[in-house]
Amino acid sequence: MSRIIVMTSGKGGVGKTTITANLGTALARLGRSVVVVDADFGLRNLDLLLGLENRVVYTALEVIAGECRLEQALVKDKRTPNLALLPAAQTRNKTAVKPEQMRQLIDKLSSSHDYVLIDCPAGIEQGFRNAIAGANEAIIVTTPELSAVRDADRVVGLLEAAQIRPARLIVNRLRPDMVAASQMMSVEDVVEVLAIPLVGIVPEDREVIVSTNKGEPLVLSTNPPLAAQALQRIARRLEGETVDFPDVASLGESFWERARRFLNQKVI
Amino acid sequence: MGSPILNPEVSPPPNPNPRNLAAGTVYFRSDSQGLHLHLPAGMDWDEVWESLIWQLRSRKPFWAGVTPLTLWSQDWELDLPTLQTLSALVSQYQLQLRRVQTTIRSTAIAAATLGYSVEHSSPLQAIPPVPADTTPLYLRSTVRSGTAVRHSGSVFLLGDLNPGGEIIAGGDIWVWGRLRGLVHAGANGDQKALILALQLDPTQLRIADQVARPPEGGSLPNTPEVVYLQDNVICIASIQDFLRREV
Repeated sequence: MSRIIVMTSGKGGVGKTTITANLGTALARLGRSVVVVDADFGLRNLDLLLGLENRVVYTALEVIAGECRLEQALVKDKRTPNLALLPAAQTRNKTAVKPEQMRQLIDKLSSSHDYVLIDCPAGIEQGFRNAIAGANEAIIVTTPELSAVRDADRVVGLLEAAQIRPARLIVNRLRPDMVAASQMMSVEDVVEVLAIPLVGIVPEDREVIVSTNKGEPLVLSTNPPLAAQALQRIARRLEGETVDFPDVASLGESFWERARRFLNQKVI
Repeated sequence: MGSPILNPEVSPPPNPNPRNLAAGTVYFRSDSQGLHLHLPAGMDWDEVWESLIWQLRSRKPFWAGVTPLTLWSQDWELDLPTLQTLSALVSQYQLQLRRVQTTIRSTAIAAATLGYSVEHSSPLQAIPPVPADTTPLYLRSTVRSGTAVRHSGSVFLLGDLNPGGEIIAGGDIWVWGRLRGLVHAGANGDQKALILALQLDPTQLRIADQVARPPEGGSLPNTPEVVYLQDNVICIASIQDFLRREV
């Protein structure tokens, strides 16, 4: 049975779309067939992050309206053969689709793919209802900020009510130096409030902005930066592997800093 | 023994008259005929549904074995599939939908089609007030941001009350976990109502018609605490100090 995972957060700007694009790519590179679905009707971004914007011909809306076949709307990624994108319509808004229609669409996709990742819009209104309609698990993306965690908590409650289980947690944009200086919530603080299992910690990384602007997922780089390594570990955890969580402090250090720390430990 | 006194707020909330605090929410009560489920007006169906699922999941069942259920749907327009989904949901919790009360013709027809006994009252008829349930409410869950628990009796929560969540009770509120949200004990005016928490770190505290916010800064004591009203001032004490005070 294929896994249908909605990526959601409540608050906007915490990195849902970036994580969806990278996680989808990482899972596809592990040999799984993956489709990423942009459920953010009217404010679509996922095609940009994957660098597929100019290849979008049809969107989910035309599929639902019966104006094209589902296969016609799927955009294949040449760099990642197992990955496809179902784009959202940019010209309409969230009320153009009903939860029941989304459920049917996702159902069809799930029969031909191992993973369906749904990129949920921010908020908890109609767009959110549509995005969770077909899902059978969820990943909550949050940053270590009070406002993001508060909104994530609300979303966890709504997912519980919608009986979508399990809901797992990704803490994004963590800055280990700031956590060490008690200027930022730690991962433990976030997990304590949300009380759901942690599936990954992604450190803040300048490379993310570069990759977004290039339309090339970070996990495709030949020399993956720390954030990309974190995302690859999340993909392996979703696959059922037990992958240790690296020491948070090491997520923010350069190779030389790490090497120095290691040597210090050995000498002293 | 001096209890730390919190900062009293300038304006207390309007003094509430004794009333059914759960009115206007999805509300279960029991009597000799079994269980009654009251649906509120003025919410959208998604909210009603969420609240219903949350209550079924979180409430320690106070019914034993298969129990007949009466649905007071008031002026909700419920079609056949909705009634069927609702019946399937409650049956997971050993509740058997038997009777449906409604003021809407189409709901009455749908309910009759499914074989429930129907009580169809005219919309002009005054709806009798729903009796307040003052028996304790036991919950086992995390009360998350956006969830409000309203109950006319005391509320016992095994789990955390997160910031953005609230519990409003006619009686005491006991939180066997971390209390970080908003609580209002004695919301019908009971000045003797108490708030207890294993770890007290609230957004705001209310007892009867008094409001207080916790002192800013400072570390949390690692001990269960009691909040009570003394001479119209909200006070906090460790459980040991509170008990000694009563002696």
